[in-house]
Amino acid sequence: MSWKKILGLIGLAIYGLWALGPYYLTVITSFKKLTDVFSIPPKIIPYVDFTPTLEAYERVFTTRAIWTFVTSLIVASAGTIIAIVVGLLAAYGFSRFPKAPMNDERSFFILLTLRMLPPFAVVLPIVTYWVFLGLIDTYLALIWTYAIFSVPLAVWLIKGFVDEIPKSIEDAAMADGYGFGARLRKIVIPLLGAGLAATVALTWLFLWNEFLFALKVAGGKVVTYTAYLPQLRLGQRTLWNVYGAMGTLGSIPPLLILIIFRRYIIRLYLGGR
Amino acid sequence: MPEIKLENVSKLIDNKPIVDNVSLEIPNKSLFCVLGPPRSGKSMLMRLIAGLDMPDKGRIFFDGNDVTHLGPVERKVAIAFQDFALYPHLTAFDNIASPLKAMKLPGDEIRRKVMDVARYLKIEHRLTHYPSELSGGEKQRVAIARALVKDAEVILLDEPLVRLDYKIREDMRAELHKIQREVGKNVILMTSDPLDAMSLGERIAVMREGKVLQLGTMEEIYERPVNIFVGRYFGVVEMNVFDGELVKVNDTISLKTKIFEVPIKIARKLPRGKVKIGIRPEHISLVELAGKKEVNFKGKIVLTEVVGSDTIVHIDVGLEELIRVSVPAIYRRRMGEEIGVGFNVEALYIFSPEDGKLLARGGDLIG
Repeated sequence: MSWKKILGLIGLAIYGLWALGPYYLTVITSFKKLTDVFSIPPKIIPYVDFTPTLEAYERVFTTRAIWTFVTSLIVASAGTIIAIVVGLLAAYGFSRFPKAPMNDERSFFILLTLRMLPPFAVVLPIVTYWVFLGLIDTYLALIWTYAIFSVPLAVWLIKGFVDEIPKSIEDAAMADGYGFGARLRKIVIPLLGAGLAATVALTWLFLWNEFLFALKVAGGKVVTYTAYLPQLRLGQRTLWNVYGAMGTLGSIPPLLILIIFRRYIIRLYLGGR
Repeated sequence: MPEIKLENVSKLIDNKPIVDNVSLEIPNKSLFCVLGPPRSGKSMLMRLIAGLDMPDKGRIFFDGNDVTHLGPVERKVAIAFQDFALYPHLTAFDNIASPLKAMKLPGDEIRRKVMDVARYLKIEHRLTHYPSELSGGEKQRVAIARALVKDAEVILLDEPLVRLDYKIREDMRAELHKIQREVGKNVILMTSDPLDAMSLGERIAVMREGKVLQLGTMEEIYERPVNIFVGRYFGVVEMNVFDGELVKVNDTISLKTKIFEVPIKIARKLPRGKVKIGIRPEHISLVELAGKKEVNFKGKIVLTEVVGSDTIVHIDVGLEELIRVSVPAIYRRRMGEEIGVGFNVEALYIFSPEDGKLLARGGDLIG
């Protein structure tokens, strides 16, 4: 093994410690008693520094907390489905009908600005809107808000992939006798393939991790796991070990998605397929 | 197998006419060829005939029925695209089967039809492969197979040969002819290669800038191109064009250029004055090979270029441009050598200098 390679591995090891260290702390905190969380010096190695316990997990699985994951799963998935369906159709239109009225950079830019504002800047009118409709703190309100905020990214990403499909392939499908729906199903979507999958994954991840809307548009009856976190208190004390357990459980789906879709997401960022 | 008729068809893009007031009649069961340089509007004309795009003006009839607003399926057309447009995620078999699947035919019938057409086009051993694994010629065959398989009444081929190697082009040309004869359908071929048009088209439309300049058989267009553009374009080697003048000297009318003057009898009345003179390279001969002709002059060889079994000799005879002479043999000469060239008056084309329109053929002038 050359020196270069050894130095490289050492570098990677340091980076790995630096990057995974905090996550390690989250995971081991979830296996601590609350009294062990703040001890100084910190207890880092299980079975040596402290005895692991499933206390925090017991608390998650026996209370409302576990159901907040289900809520998160529902709103993130429903929001993603709507955003992808709308985004796919819109992206197709932007890509395939450049001569259509209002299809220019301006409308595309306006669409993207929806995403550029910090959610904090628009949360107040959105809450007012749902209160006015009498739908505040419902699945519908949160899913709808999520879908609307996910559409721009979906359109932007998918349009790039639709642009890459030669128009003549669709002409051929039209001549073969496929209507618009069949063309979309049999030709466009299969050819979008990996790009569409990566867009679905990214959209879903953003929604799974979303906090502010979850807290303000819902958060009372409908509670996602992110919005539930501030409630993890016992009197004056924050239940950091339960935080740890929630964080550990909440990071499982994103990790799975990142592992499964890793190749596609990297390609997405590289701007190709 | 309909007779296709286009009536004053126009298509605008960004207010620019891509197809400009085209009227055409394409007879039954014919091999019709639309010839035009790139961007002359022939692809759009194909899309309009196919029903992929709707014209902004004009009407299209198939067998007398107005199909202007019908799609490709209702018109029963099949298309083979210039870039083949094969579905990259499907095998050759599924590509060919695609129109049959759209018709929801039973599986065994699809299989039988695909195998028939694949055998006919000699690609049955490549059916399990994806387009990315096929050669250019094979992709071409798959694209044509997909067009043939569905028993369409009109088959449109957009530049089917342009992406192929020289040798495969020759083979495919012969094959297209055979296909048209055997399948007995209306085949419409879009091409920018005059050779394709000359060897394949029973009737040919020459297009430029969205307009059909000339419509006729190969012989008609070759013998009487409507203008200089068609004359230059429609030939294996580009026509020579140079300046001339019709002058009257003592009761005889002469055609005069910088280097020769030839008395001609005028059968048709032509205005005196400047004209453009055209002559095809294959109608000029070298004196040392073919003897003297009615008009003879000398020049210096600038370049000899062997094309297939012909040689194109570029000769400086003192006119505005070099004269191209096509010799039907391999012919090597050194640069700068002096050589005699000659042609007969009947081979000349006389064009108007203003709009380039054909005024007369040399034959008319002998009278």
